[in-house]
Amino acid sequence: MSVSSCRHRRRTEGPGWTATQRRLHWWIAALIGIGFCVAPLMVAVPLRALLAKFLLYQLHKTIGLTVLALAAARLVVRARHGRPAPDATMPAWQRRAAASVHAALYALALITPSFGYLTAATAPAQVPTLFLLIVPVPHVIGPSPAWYPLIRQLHRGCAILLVTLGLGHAAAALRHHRRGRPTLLAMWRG
Amino acid sequence: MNQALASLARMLGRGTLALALTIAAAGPAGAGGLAFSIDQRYGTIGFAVEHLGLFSSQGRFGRFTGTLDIDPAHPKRTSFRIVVDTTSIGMPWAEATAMLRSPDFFDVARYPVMSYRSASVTPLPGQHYAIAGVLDIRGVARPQALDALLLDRRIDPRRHVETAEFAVTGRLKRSDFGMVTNPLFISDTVTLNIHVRIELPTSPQD
Repeated sequence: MSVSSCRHRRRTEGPGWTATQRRLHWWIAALIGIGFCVAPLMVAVPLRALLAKFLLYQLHKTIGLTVLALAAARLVVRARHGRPAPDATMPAWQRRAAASVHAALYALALITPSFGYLTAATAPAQVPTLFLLIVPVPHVIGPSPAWYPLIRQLHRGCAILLVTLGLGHAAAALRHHRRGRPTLLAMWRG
Repeated sequence: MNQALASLARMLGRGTLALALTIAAAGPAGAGGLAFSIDQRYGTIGFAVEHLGLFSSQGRFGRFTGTLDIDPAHPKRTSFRIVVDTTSIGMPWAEATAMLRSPDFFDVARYPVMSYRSASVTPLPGQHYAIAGVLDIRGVARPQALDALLLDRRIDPRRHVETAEFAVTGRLKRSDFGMVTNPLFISDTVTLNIHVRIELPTSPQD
């Protein structure tokens, strides 16, 4: 494709991503990234600095619950507004792969924080979950020495998978962008 | 022995204190008193701290022994001594237990026991008893007041025992005993929650 002044084709037919969809997309991505980075920090803080450890855990839990709510909202918006028509010039296998990855990302954005919530609930330490340090979030199940190790591993595994797929998704979007497809700009500008 | 125990039971009936963690065996004490041995089979020693006023954590000690001396002729001279195995400390969370065993807190390697020795017992209205004594933790001895509340007294005619249950509470500052780690997150005030059950054999005629 030749470089021109209008390097990226504009989407001329059909609606683009709505402003709400775009904002939700970038906010969810940013929060997942921050939450994922906070996790090893909060685990590494020693018990001699319990206040810092507690605050980092609450930050991580607040981020996770926010991601859960925003991801659910995104699905509702998607059901109502649909999505822009897929890029017809993209090979079919790429469109299918993208659809699969997107579905997995939606699912993991819901499942990962759900497992996180259950990890907090089943943990023997019995630290309450305080959204924004203000709103207590009740734990619907109690501490469970049997379930906690398993649920914690599921949470970590899903988080790693979510971030890995997310990075692949971002890399693919950049690749499409560099090849002149409107993919990235459609989510950036609409 | 039965006469001494009967007079002890009558003393309880007058509402005078008996604070003990169990009565496993009774034997003669000095000057007309009775000595009972104590252990964890009939009581619990628990404690609680607060975190930023948002929630609290509880722990307990699983092993302790002690003696209770009661002089029926002089009830206010009731005294007891408890020795707690600090290595038996337990929290719901293993890392917290390890932290409490460390030199920052109970330093169980250097101080495997802590103790309480009562100095006086004073009956108060409403089935309460004020206890004054000395608490020794980590080689630091401090005066410590406790309040014992008689919860329940009943006689089990089949087993020929009289059971008395007490809730013993107290508050202390952990910094008084050199435990100053995490001053922001772990409250300095520690609440003691002790529950005890005394079993006294009753005479057949009671």
